[in-house]
Amino acid sequence: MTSLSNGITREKILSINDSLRINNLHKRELNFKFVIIGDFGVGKTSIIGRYTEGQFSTSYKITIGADFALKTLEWDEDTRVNLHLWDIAGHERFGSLTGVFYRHAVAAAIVFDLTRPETYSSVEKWLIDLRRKVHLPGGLPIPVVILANKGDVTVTTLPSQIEDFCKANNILSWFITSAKNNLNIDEAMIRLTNAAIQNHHNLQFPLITDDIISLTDASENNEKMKKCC
Amino acid sequence: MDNQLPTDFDLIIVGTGMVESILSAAASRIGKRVLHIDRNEYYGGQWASFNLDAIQQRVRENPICHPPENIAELLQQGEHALPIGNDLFNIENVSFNWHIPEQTQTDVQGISAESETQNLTETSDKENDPDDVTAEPWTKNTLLQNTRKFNIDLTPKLQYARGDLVELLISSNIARYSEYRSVSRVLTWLNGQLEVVPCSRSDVFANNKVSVIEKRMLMKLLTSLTDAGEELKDYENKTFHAFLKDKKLTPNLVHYVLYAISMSTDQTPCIEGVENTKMFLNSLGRFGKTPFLFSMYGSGEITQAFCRLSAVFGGIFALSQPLSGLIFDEGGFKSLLVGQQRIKADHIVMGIEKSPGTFVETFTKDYISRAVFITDKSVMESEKEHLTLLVYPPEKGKNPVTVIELGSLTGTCPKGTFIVHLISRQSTMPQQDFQHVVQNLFTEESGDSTKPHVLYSLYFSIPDSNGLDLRKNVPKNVYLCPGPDLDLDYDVSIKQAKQIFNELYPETEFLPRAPDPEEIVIGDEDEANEETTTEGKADSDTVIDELVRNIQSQNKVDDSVHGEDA
Repeated sequence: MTSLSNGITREKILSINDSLRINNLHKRELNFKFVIIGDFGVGKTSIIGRYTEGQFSTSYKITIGADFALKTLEWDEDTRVNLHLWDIAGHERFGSLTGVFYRHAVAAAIVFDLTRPETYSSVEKWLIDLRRKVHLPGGLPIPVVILANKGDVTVTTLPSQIEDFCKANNILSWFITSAKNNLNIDEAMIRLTNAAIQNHHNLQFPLITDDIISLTDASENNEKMKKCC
Repeated sequence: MDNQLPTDFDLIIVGTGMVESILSAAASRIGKRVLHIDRNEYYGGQWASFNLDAIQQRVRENPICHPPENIAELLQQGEHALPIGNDLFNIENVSFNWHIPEQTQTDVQGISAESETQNLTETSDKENDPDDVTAEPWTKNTLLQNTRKFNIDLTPKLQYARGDLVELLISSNIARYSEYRSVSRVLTWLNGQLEVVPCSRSDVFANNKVSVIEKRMLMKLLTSLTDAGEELKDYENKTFHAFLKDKKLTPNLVHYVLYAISMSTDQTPCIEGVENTKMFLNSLGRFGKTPFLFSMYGSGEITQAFCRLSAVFGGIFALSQPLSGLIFDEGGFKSLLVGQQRIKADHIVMGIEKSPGTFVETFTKDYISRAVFITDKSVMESEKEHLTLLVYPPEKGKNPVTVIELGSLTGTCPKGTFIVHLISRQSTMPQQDFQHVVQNLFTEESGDSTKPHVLYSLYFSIPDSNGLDLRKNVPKNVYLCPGPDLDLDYDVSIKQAKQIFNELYPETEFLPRAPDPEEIVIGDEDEANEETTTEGKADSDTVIDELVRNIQSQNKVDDSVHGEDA
């Protein structure tokens, strides 16, 4: 019998694997798009990297070519949640996000850097841009959390008004996070996911998505036509 | 958000119109350092889509950005500065009108209570109460309360399902940024009324206005055109109209094929008419019942999709910038002035409306007449909401008019309304150019229930700068992009963008396929840390390790969910 370091046998795992696979068959999948916004250099990409890859790097390059990172959560017995975490890629940093970036987002995290107070002043600008460009179907605002990042650095002072700001602006919650020490990132994302799931259940808007076409070869409705042309 | 811009680029692009946006994506995609900059705070320039509030303010916005007073201090020897922007290629003749009252009597009485509830919920739009839609007539106030549900195109466009844009979006993988709806019917104006143009075989046979003999004639013609070659040689110098007449088609069939299917006029050369017809036929059946697609949330989305790809590949975007001039020396363009900051680049690409006036003052311009109506019902009502293309043929010396009618399913207007776009080559003024169409199809008075009621109308003229030799008056490293064109699709823009791209970066691939997110590993490739390498390389146990991790992480998530509940 092969025994792994932590004492779980291979056979045990294979049987768990089977039951997982069977369980997963009936799971419904929810795909949620979250946008992670905030000033340049506040650690958005590090947070996404920590959350999706479980790693931290101090030298993240601006992510070339990637729209979003994927995190799959086995939420409960019946639900799997796929989080699409959209990074602003650093390049749209001069307050110029496209509507395309925000389209269909159901939650947002606004990140600032505790060691650079000016990035906190920008939070409001990001929030205004967000509120202007994206809503839930039916017009309700999307849930937002604020992440006070680089919480591992000791010299930080917390902006005193943050609690009031959250109350005044319908912010779900705020967290002191650290991508380096993996502090509160899971908590913040789970908070957002919870809100997104609740909205998903509560807001059964008659959103008519039938007949919406995305241009992939799969959505072509007649393969024969393709050949004859 | 207020970081200083970097000061050295391969390419600066000023303006976010269609050609500029395609070029931005193409250059970033091959690793060029691109600064895409504009004074406007919105994307799209003369190709933008606006909500109802914004369009009334933005439609004619294109201020000239003059160099600052201390310009002499910023220049080096042999340099001179020019302003950005000109008033020669602006949107002109703008007029908008409300044809409904500002508010109803009941609104006036109940206004204080209503505005309070609105602040609390932000959802007091009509859409949440579908029963309400037909009950209350629209007022200026109720339309403006729904302003965000409008996406009104300055330059509405349709795509052929097999046109260059669709192929490019798919091959470059930019398609993932946009969604489409199929145009569900094509109409024409024939013998004083609206008729459905039979598009497909089933349409032809379902159409009760076309006789059995005509049906056979039409099918025969359409089939023969798809592989026509030899017989077309006799028509090299003749019109498509002449060709169709020689085919002994009935006048109705000539009308359908000439004006609606091939989008031609009486003067269109035969070859062009045949090509258009082929494009129409080839595009049938790929994504929907008609050959045409419309981009959800408005045509402005397409420019943004290219911009997003550019940003994802490293292009730096800076809108709302205090542009203050262009610096040239003998060698051509040197630097862009943003406020007091100099930003240099090897090349600069500009929308024609951003060009210094001296580069474009000799051009003669054509204009495109445009009108936008918000109406309360479709030009041809039916149970299901249609997305309609109406081709209004030339009539009494008027140019043909293209009409696109969009319902709320396209994400461009609230439920219970339609957006109608009218497009034509300008001969006098937009109002006059469309007068006959408006008279026949719409009413501006409420009460006449047979025709759609125009609730709001907007007229303007857009300069058509296509067909001009834009390389003529500019230094070598300056490229001007033409503005909107009269065609239904974007093929002209793609051709222009490719041409400029090939001059800028010859022998380089134009928009190769971008990878999907799941094909990319996030993080730092150079410093792949040891943990990852050892974990990743354990071959036989990899699956097991993966499983253990999955199970562990699942437990962790379950725990935290539990914690959240408690």
